[in-house]
Amino acid sequence: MAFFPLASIQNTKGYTRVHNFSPNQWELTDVTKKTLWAIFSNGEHWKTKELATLEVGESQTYYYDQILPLKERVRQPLILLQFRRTPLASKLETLPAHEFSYSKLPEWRATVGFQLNKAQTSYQGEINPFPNKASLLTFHPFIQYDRTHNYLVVFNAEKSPVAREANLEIYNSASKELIDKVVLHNNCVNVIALDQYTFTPQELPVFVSRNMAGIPFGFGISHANDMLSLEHTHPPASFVVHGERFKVQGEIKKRWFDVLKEFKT
Amino acid sequence: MKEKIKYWIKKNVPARYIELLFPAKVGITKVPSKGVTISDLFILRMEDNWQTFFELLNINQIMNPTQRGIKEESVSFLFYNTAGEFLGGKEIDLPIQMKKTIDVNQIAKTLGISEDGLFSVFHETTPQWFESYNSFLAERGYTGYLNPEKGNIKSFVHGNLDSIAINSNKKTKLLGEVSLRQKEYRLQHTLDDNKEYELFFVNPSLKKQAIDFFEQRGEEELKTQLILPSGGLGKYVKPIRGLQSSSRLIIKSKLPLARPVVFKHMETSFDVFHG
Repeated sequence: MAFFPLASIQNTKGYTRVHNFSPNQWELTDVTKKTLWAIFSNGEHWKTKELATLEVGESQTYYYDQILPLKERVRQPLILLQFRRTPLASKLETLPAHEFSYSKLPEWRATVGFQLNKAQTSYQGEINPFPNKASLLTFHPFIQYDRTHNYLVVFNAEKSPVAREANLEIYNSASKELIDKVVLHNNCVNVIALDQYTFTPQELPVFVSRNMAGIPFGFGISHANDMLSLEHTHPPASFVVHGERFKVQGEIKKRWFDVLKEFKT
Repeated sequence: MKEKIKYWIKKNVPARYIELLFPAKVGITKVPSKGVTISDLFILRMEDNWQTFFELLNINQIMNPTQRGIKEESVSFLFYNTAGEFLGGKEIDLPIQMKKTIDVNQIAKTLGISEDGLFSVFHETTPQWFESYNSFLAERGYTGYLNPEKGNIKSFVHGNLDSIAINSNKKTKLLGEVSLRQKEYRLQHTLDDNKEYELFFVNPSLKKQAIDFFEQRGEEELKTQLILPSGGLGKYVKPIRGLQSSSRLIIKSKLPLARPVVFKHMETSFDVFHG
């Protein structure tokens, strides 16, 4: 079971709608009322807030600003929502274990969304904490070239609340040229503006972090602020199915990591 | 070793028998024969001013980043109507570049297609080194939808199912499994009363499937049924109901995971996502 992410991106209003019902009827899950908690890192500790108790079948929407108002924000933490049976202390040193049984096919998910004026965009989301030695390799094939501000967004969550940083290297996948290096923050919503790099429609940017994993998204805001666009970006391994695909995936990742030698300044 | 045993069972034991013994072990798709390439069945929208685009990537280069220079690739786009019938196909040469945005409607029009349906994208070859891992190349890439009457930028959704395979003789085979018992999929997205939703369902199995919808709002329950031909496409529409509430949708069928692609329509925009 995973946590449900709640994020804020640029000038949009982030929301997460959490559902107290399983996505299927054939896996054993806990059909009971559940109390929802918000957990976020201040860079030193996990801070917690009790939100509400949801009855069986109930859905509730929470907004990022409602849980973490701007004036209380030192950084842009990813808020993790968790269903609980027992209460949490106000300050934690590691992420708490889960207390309920959940579905696996598909995962029990929430609607993770963003709104701006009358526009909304969302995906069905969940997040598991990444090991702090994990890495990231992803391509972004759907940058938009007309009337759109484009961003790469990376959600990271780790068990430890202690702040750390890692580089995200941005390359041209054809020439293997290093375009830029930006900093990723753990347990945060990382937003990277992409239009500054002037990628052409034929170019495929590739993003590499050798010391931090995350869930990457392509995010678009129309120039008129009247439409939003959001979708996961995938690792190349998403093109592989069946067999020992994890080994194939590992091999593809290794090939890209080897060929994209980090530029030493 | 564990992976190899799981692969052998998945390839050789029918999913229904596995499900009979282990009700929580549900197979979604079949393992095809060696030498095929795989694609999702992507939704083609042409009617009502919809435009469909596909972000075609140079897979060979992505799988082999160390090879020098970028080789030209040939890719087949195959089209089907909502009844799952094959309408035609076209080979596209991906130029010497990493990516090309394909105007799918334009290709479909050259084949005389003007209505919504499905398409698949097959790459010419699977990288040879995949075979030692018993793995397959599957195109599950990004489809972009645009409709100037409904919003002024594209909304993207990725493929997520290995629905159909093609062999070297250009013969295709659907890969979707069918469950032993009826499965419920409870959409984990509530449908706002004041917005219109179109939910598209694909049947990647070899048999016709009945899909039952139960839209629940408070004490009310609206029941509808859709019959999906093998390899076909169907749509459930939730109209604007003019209220400030929302409804839940429960989907019952023998498709192991009847997850729709959802088009959500708002006042100035639309959003496409996997439900």
